[in-house]
Amino acid sequence: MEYNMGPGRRDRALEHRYETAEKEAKKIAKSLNSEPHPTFDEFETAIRSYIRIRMLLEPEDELPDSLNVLGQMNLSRALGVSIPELSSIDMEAKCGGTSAVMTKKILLIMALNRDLDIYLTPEEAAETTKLSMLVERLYRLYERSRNR
Amino acid sequence: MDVSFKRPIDEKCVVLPVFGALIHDYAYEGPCRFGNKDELTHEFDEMAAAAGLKAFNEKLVDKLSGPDIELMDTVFAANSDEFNLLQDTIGEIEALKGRFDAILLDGNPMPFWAREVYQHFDCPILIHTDTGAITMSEVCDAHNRGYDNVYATLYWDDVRDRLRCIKVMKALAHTRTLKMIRHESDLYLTDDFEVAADFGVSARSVNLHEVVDQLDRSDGFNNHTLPERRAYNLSKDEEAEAEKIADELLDGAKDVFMDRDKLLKSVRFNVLTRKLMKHFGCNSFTAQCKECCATTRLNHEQVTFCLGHSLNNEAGIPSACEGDMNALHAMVVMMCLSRKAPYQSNTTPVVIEDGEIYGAMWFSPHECMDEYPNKLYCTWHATPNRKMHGFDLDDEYGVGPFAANAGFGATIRYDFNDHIGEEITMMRFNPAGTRMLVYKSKIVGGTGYDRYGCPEGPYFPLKDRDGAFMEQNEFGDHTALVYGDYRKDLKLLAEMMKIEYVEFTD
Repeated sequence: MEYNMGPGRRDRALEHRYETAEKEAKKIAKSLNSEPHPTFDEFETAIRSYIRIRMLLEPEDELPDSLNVLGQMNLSRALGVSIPELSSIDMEAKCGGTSAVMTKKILLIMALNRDLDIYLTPEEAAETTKLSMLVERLYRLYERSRNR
Repeated sequence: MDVSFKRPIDEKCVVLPVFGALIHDYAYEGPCRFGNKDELTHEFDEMAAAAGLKAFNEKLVDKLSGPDIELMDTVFAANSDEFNLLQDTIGEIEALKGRFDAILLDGNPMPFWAREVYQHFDCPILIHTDTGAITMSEVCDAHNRGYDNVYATLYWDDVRDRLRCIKVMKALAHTRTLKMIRHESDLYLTDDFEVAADFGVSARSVNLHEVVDQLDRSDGFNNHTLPERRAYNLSKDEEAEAEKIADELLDGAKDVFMDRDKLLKSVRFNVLTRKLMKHFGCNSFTAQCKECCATTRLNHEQVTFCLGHSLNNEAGIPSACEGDMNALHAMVVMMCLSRKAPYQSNTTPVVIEDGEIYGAMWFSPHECMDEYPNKLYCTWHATPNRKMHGFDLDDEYGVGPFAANAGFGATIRYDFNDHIGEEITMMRFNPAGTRMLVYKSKIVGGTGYDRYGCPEGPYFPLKDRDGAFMEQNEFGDHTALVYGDYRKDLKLLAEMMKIEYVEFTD
């Protein structure tokens, strides 16, 4: 994670921002879960808020439809640099070889799976490249799990 | 004329991609692992592996799609952190055996099962991974164990280029040549059946007399050489096709130095040989010139094979002069690598001694002889073609006879003076098939456009011209020429064929 990219580079303030964001996002999920049958619009509004908070985006930031760009925006907000400047940042090494942006997408989907108690499979996650597609897939899974 | 047999250029290297992934069972750090806790979970590894597989499949299509490569569906090979495969990967590949020509390992293929792959499958195996740490470890292990069919690749271009080389080797192995002869002989130039055996090429002979009899305008019954069989004389449709080809050749020619009826005779011969190729399951052609010429039947029929070779090569059908199977192999290679129609010719030095040019009657005077004294070579014959820059391109040409007296034996006339400055590459194998000779140069002049016979070709310089000649004595006379610089491809091909590569340049 970008708050702990190397020894002597631990950013406690950023870590705290993420912890706070996680708590806020979980509240949104909890509120959504308490609704008996949210409509798609209600679901989408909640999920977009959830994502905005988790990704440390400001209310005035327009959410991009590309999940790649979303990941870049998150890193940009976290590190306080512009998106073009990200390539010059000395990011952390990753054992698994996934890029920072891909890691963001995977962690987001893992969090959504967990907080909504659904399961977007790894294959479905790989195929999902757009936010709109993600919301639609999540809603279908969410409805299915509610109807069990 | 449409061909229904598979041409060597139509062969594809069928590659089986295998994407390796390591999926840890538990989240922990240690001497091989570090990271944020969420990124160390089984769930994260599964998602990362799926994302990697998708990206790999997209890359495959982006980087390897083309006429030379066929991609099979990727086999996904995941193992756990106990280093056991999570599915029967070897069994999956085994079930596909016989359908692929090469295996491409990418992602994170663990050495323990990569070794199983190269121990089980003796096809070329390419290893292409991120940092190269895995590649180097596995290739080193394979080579140390004597598996020299395992290759490291650094760029996607390397992957593509090696797979294209495999396609060329496959094309050679599937080359079936119809060889028109008077009788089996090695009376004139090299006749290299040993080479054919090594590369997998095979030739079947057809007798000149039977072929010439089939040029008669009859129904094929009662041909003298096949009295009780129905032979393959041209049908009405085939005759019409020959007429059409002749007219097209004349319409497109810059210069026409011969009569239409004589041109048509050569075209008919070509239509017949393609019919025979199809009938005998052959996808390439050669014909003895010297032996067949001496029968005088070709003089009687007013046919030479030159135009037929040009038309065959233009159609992607390797066609070599003079029964030279070694040259035919070179034609297959150059055609497949360049996707251009090669030109096979006598490749000889232009020697000046005591102010005299040896063999001067073959070479038109040209100022390049003064500019490059005793540095010049010429590659000269009578079978250039219109597709030497590419099958989708058309070069300017003339049409002229081979025979001076009777004006028969159509040939494409090609003025290499119009192509001064252009790069050319030529190659030939040695008779044993253990070495490859490559010349790379540029055209500095041309000869023979408006002459009879086979003296048409480019002049080109070589830095060590005399050394090249001495080396070429170990290879033979004819080379196959294409426009462009194909040394990189040829060098890689030589490496994969495990033969020596010898190069001379300008």
